[in-house]
Amino acid sequence: MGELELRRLTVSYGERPVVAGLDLRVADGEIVALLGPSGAGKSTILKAVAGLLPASVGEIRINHQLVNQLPAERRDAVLLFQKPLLFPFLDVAGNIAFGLKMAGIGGRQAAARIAAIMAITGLDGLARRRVHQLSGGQQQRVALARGLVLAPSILLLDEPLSSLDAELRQQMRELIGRVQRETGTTMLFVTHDQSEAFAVSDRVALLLAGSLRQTGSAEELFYHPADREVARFFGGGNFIDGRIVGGTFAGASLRCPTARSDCATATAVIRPEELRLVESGGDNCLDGVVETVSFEGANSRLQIATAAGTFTLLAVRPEGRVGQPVVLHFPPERLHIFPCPEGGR
Amino acid sequence: MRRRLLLTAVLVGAILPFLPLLLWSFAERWFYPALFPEGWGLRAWSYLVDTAGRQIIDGLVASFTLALATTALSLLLGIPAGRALGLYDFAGKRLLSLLLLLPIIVPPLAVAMGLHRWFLQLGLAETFFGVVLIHLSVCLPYTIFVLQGVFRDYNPDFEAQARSLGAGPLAVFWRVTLPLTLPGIAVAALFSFLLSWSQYLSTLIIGGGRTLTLPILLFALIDSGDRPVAAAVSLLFVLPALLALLAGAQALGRGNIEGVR
Ligand SMILES: Nc1ncnc2c1ncn2[C@@H]1O[C@H](COP(=O)(O)OP(=O)(O)O)[C@@H](O)[C@H]1O
Ligand SMILES: [Mg+2]
Repeated sequence: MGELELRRLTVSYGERPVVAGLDLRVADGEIVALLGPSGAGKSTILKAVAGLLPASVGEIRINHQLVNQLPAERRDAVLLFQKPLLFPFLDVAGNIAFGLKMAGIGGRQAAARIAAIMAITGLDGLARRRVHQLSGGQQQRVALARGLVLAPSILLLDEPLSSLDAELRQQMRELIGRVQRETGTTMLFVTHDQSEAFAVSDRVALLLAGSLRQTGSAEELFYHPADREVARFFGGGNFIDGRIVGGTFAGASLRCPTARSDCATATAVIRPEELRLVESGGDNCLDGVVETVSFEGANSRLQIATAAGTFTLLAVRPEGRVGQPVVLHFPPERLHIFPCPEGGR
Repeated sequence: MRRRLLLTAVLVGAILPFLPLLLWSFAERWFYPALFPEGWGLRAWSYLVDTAGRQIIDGLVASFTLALATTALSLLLGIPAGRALGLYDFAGKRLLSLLLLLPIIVPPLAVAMGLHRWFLQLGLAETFFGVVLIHLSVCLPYTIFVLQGVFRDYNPDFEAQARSLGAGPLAVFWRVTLPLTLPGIAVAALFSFLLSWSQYLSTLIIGGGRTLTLPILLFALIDSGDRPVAAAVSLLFVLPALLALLAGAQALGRGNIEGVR
């Protein structure tokens, strides 16, 4: 059983608030990814929840109990840092036993719990290993086991995969998912990598410059961003300014039906991989000229200048040359229209 | 392998220079230009054990308690100070670091002479605590200097991790901070112990001849001109220090091997 609730949480270093007015709920058994660029304040939030930094304003509740005043060692939340931080003077089992020892649990009960968690995290047979003899992936698994063995109400993970190479990262991702299913541990998982956030979590919370901008499923954030900055974070910066009248968005000779009510300053956005190059103009098309082409492997990125601004298009195969006149098609069902800004009606 | 090398180096470097002392202590007759003594005997050692035995044991006890008390105090003050200097940046840190080195640069004689007046006024002169304090003025800067280096390479996230795993402040210190910094702390303690152990002038000035440590007895015996006896006392004086050094080197050797990733 573990539930975390943050209400209007503000955390400051000195006078400077780094995270402000944060509201977030993590339900029992849920795994929420806290996603944001480096410096957004993700680690700061985890430290505040863990009790390693004081909250200047707001409430932190674990299982409905207010824990703001509880010191870190008495909070039912365990923080795992980016580095494994295994104690070099203890062996693998000693590291995993550390928290149990602190809780006064020893003997057979501790041994059983340690053995069970080592089996789940794939550490069988390594109990007496010195920690510097372990690989990076094994070290990270010991760190995970050291937290899990305490069966905390909530496990806080601070970019635990970012120091691993690609293949190990994939394995760890799967391991964390499996461990979560097997133990039902509630987790708040911090990452700056959107694909990691999407793959690991039930829900994603996007943090930009210390404030939570959107919370929802991965698809919601990716295809229905709340505003321009959220869209930009996920790599979608194709904006079309226009207006909504009688259930239709119109802007730059593009039109699409929408359920939103009338709005004088509406903005639509389309993901670069949804734009198409077509042979000849028609409805929802703009004429343009290719400005740049860059081959990026899995796809190619084209910048296309039109009368309504420059658009980015991602194509599966390199197509078009610089200077070539093209026709851009905007499939209307792919346009996402932002909520009308304040005072835009 | 590495440990054996280290031990060999310590043995050769630390013990070989004492060979002449060893020879002198067993010499009955040894005149220039003979390479080795011409007559052997136990006179010097029996003098130490029988005639001066009581005095020597008192001197050993005095030196030992002084060095121990000084070391304990210098760790007690040096750990927090070294930690602050090593881990955190603050205004005036460089100046402070420099000031801390001053007692190392200024001759201890000058420091002891200067402080003697104050110690007299404060009633600290000719007391055990007064001598501890004057030894501390020599030992503490070294201790802080060593520990500052230890904490520069120290990652305090280990402590945060331990707290999150349920360790209170005291448990964090004993079970995380101390084991992580033990090799460095051992070096600092060793320095402090040996420095205090070998103090002569400062003990003489502040102790006023009341605190009869081994070095003070040693100088008195050397003054008497009896070389074999002085050599025997010197050896006795060096022995505990040598043992401490060996113990320290062993702890260090282990620490180094553990530190290899
Ligand atoms: N100890 C500190 N003192 C002052 N500012 C800090 C400290 N730690 C982090 N910051 C600042 O707080 C902001 C958020 O940092 P952090 O929470 O580590 O971001 P993230 O984990 O999202 O990369 C950054 O601008 C960083 O410079
Ligand atoms: Mg961070």
